[in-house]
Amino acid sequence: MSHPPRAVLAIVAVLALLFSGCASHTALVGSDDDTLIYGTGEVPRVLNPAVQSGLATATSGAQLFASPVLLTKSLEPKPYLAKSWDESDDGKKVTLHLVDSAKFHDGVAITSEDVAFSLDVVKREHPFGANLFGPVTSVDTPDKHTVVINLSRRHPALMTAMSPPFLPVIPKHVYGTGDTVADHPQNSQKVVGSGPYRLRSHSEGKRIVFDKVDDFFMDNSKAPKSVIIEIISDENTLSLALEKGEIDMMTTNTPSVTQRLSRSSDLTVAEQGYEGIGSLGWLGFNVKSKYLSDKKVRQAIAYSIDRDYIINDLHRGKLSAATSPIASGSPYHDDDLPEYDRDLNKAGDLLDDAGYPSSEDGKRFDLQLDYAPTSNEMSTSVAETIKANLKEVGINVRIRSSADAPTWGNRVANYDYDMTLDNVWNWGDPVVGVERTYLCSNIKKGVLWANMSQYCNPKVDELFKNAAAAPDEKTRKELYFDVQEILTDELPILPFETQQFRNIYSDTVVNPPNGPFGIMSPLLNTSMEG
Amino acid sequence: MSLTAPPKIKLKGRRNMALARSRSIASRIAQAVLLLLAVIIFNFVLIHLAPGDPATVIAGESGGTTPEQLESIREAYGLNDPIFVQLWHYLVQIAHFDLGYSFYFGQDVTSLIGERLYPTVLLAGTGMLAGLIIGTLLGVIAAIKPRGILSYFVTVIALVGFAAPVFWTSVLLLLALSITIPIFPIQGMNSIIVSPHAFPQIWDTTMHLILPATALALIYVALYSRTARTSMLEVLDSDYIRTAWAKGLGGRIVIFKHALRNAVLPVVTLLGLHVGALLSSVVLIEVVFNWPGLGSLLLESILRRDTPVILGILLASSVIVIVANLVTDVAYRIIDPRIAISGGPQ
Repeated sequence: MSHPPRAVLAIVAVLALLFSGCASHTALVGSDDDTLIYGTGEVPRVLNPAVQSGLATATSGAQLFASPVLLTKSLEPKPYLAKSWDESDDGKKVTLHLVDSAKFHDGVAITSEDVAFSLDVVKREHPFGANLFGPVTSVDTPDKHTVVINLSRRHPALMTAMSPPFLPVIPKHVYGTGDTVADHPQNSQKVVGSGPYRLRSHSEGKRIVFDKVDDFFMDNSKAPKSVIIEIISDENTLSLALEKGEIDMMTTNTPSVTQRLSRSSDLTVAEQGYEGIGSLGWLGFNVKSKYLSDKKVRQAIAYSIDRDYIINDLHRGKLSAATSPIASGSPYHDDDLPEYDRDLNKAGDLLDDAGYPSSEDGKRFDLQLDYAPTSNEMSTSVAETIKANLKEVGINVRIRSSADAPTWGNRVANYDYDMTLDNVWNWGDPVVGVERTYLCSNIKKGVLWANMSQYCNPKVDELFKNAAAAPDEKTRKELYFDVQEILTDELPILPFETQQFRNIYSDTVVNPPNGPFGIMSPLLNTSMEG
Repeated sequence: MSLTAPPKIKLKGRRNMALARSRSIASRIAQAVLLLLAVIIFNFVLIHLAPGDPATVIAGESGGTTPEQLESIREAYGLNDPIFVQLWHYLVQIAHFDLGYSFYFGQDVTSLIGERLYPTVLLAGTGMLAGLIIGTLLGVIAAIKPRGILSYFVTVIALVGFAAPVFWTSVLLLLALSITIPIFPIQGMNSIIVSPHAFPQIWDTTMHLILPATALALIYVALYSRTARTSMLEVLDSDYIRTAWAKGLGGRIVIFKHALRNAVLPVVTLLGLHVGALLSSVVLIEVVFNWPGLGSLLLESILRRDTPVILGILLASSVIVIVANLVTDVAYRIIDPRIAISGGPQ
């Protein structure tokens, strides 16, 4: 009787050892009936949006936590935990009337105390807390289902501030036990939420699994039984997984991915959604740097850049031009602003006027260009285009790359730059995501996405301040139109494109979340076919 | 007396040898500990000298953050202390076998690494093993007919394996064998939802493993096939192989029993050396295939400046390499006592 060679036995033994632990190492055991699998490259730090901003946390947060209101496509509030609300004539008192059947996932009833507690936590601990709830002086809870928010002034952004990305209602009896909520262990694991889905498991950096809450206070009967957020960091792999049917839906603003997936007959690329985000691609100027302190130089740069090429060729016509610091999806966006169409003669004249005539070799001066290290398509290629464009008017651009986001952030937040490419979100209301970039009071060295251009114009500050407390929508709109006019002329920032996010989903997904905050909204109306 | 004298001398000699061997091993272990300490300090200083502030990552998308909030984050994570104080705290922590807490995940680094270690071992082990076996076999076959088509084929394989970036071969494998001919899954270590039974689970993992392991194996096939071919050509030219042929032994016995045993030694040496460089290839493969291992965790942590995790993974990989070298050295000293006496490999 012959025996197998020892080497073969050894190999079999090694392989058996290697595979011995593979069974369901990361997989979910069960069936995929009525499960929505959402793929994303975004890795949440925590799952509690009360203490963390950003798409990754808000995506899970919207499923785990309910908020006082939801927003319609036109960013109008509609009932959620608050079935109705009243505002006093002077706008300084807003009263919310809560539904009386809502419960946290541990079965405890949601009361006005919890809403007041959540608002206080967000005001103190959320990066946007001061913008969202700065004017809130106190919150009264006259009974279990009534919340009275007292304000120092009228605060039109309040309703946006009480929608899912910003104000999750968290249980006071769970999160109110320590000094701060930011370091609470139940921000990532064993989360006790108030939303339409409860947390089943969270494998950090890999997967988050949610199960539908059956006795949710709103109708979620058609919603998928389970939702899985599958984290796939490489966007190419993510899109291939969608094409192959391993995931059901993803979100992207990368033009090449959108273009490729739109060719698939099994997938749908949503035309609408994410208007509330207002994602702008822009060129930020450090207005304290030698050459860029002059408005004419900034305008000359705007006239030199070939935006058509960036949008239609580099970004394949999948993104749209931006002309204003307030994104086009916002009701406060001004459509009639002057545009900086490419005009090299005008650019040259402006640079001459600014006192920088070209030398014999056509050169005027040097500038450094940084960029936020996102994908090559959205950053490096745009930087190379701008370098080539500015060379034509005699500005020599040195591109400086950063190895990672913290390196870039450290440079620009500490004003160690001339120009930088960046992608910044409006976040629904100018109070939340726009004024932070321009207010004199928000020039905070070391703070990323504060007023990093160091631009300061008291007139702009006054317009923003008045708009934030405007007595009516018409006045508010006019004030924001005025501020856009000034900012488009003075150009501390040059927005050049709206980086439209889109949901891309398979045929099995019915009614995907294509609202103003997209996937950062509760999945109440989405369902799975078959 | 005269009969017992020689064994005494032998015993003395053995004792001296054992003593020398023990001293040599102890000295090698001490060197390894010092090396590990140096690696820890070097990694720590290097990462902390890099520009960038983890507090901005922890704060998330801000703009509304106050400098005070950032300051309190830095205070909470000990980022305000001078670098030498931070280093001292880190060394004390390591001495207690505590790798600290991830800035980003707020989870202890040991458990994060523990979760990701097995997938990396599975991928790296399978990839290297496949590379070793296939590479050596190709090398042997190529050496039998050095001017044959197969020999040229091995040369081409080696050139492509060396020249092609691993992320590129990974994407090509995905496109070819997951999209165009849909045999293998795209990503992950398992299907997102699998059967509750053990065999389908193992089959599922195997299907997920084949493409990333192939991408990794291609690198080693390239390396080992060339090495095995060269080594085999030398061995086949030696006197004892000619003797074996002259004795009338069969081809299979001469090649695989007599020649391969000696020819494979350089390949095995190379294998040991490659363990240290393995992580760099694994990082890229894990990212492309979304393989949930240490490599992808390392990349994610570098991009977020999650220093405790980066240091933890570097420490773990350093320990593996140092221990592997230590074991090899100790084994050499046990097998060949001359190394112990002379203090190093001859």
